[in-house]
Amino acid sequence: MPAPLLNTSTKDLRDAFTFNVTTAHALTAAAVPLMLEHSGGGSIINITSTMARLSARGFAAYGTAKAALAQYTRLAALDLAPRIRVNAIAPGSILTSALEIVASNDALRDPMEKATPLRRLGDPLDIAAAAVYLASQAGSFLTGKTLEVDGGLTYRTSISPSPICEDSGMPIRVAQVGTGNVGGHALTELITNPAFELTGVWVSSEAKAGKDAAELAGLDTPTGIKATNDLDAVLATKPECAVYTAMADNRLMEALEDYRRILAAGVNVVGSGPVFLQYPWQVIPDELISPLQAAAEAGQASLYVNGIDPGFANDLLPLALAAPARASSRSAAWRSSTTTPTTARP
Amino acid sequence: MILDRFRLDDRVAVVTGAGRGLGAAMALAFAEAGADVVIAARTQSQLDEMAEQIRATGRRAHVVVADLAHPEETAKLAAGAIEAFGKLDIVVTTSAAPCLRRC
Repeated sequence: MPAPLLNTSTKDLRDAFTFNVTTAHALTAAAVPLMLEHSGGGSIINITSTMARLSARGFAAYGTAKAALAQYTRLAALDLAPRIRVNAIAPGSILTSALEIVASNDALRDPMEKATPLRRLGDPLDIAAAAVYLASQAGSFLTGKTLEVDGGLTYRTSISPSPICEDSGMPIRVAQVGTGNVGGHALTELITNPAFELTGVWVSSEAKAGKDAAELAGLDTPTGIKATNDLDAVLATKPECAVYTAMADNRLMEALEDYRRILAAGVNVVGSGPVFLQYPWQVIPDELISPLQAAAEAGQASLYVNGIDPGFANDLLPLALAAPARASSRSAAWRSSTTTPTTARP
Repeated sequence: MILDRFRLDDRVAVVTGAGRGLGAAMALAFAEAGADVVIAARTQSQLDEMAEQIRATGRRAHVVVADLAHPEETAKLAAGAIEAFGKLDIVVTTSAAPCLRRC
């Protein structure tokens, strides 16, 4: 487990119920008369799981059994009140030996931490503390409850990590650098999408300087943000991210220097070009890469160049290649030039 | 004193799945809070190790090797608490966590 639904046999389902629900009931039924006779009452705690409430692929047997155990907890609480309290703890992702494989593997652990609003995996002591609370007089007014000790995991609808814009609910502060073919579209999105807050706009031409960002994007309602030729003035607006779509291919050194300055200012960069920055290592000389890496490390910022750079490789070449291969719906050339990320992460 | 309300002095707890993981953490926490603990799991060696840790807190531990898939072993476990410590106040049912590998 976890297992695909159609590979989940009725025996798997029965086993999940046996291990989770039947054993809890058997122990409850055996213990309660003894608790009443020898102690006059007591507290029962069932361990369920966030999987009783979350949806994730492959957990049909386990998740359904844990959901049943949570309902069993509520029903038993009613049946056994007032002398016996019955509660449950639903642990989230806790670093026990069952998750050893996750603890030692960043690729597995990172998404689990990112999916957890409190940004860490749980410690067994987090669960132990909840158990002491439920078992002791401190929790003596609780019965039928499930304590979700999960770092906030169950406030998500799925355990898959969600996009960064859903992270805080706060718009991401973004500056636009360049307002040409690609930049114009990006600028429109930055102005109209509530996930973003436009902080500044850099333009190359004197003619565009001083114009409102809305005008440059072809929108009617002014934003109050005027375009400037001064990159430092844009960085002074303290964006979290700069979308860099200024022409890079015929002003390569200038573009790399712009990237360096933006990264050094601690601002993340999403750029359209030059395309070789998708994966620069062993493609361009190290002396061109290292200033960017140093600046990214100094500024704790990242650089992502997606290569969405209209031109020969992105429109003409795919069409030329697609013509003889009529059955192909997507060309490899298009994919390779648009989907490989470049990051210069510290 | 509010912290007194969290104490479990002289209570008796049964914790299943107590050989390792969450069950082990809860069993030890109960002992630290003042309870005597009956620990149950399938693997004797892990339980013996846990019993040592519980006794190191100054509380008593009672080991029951049991596979709770069998109802008669469950009954034996509950009765074991009375035989060992004369009462039963707390029961924790912990079952296997979902392993990412086949288990």
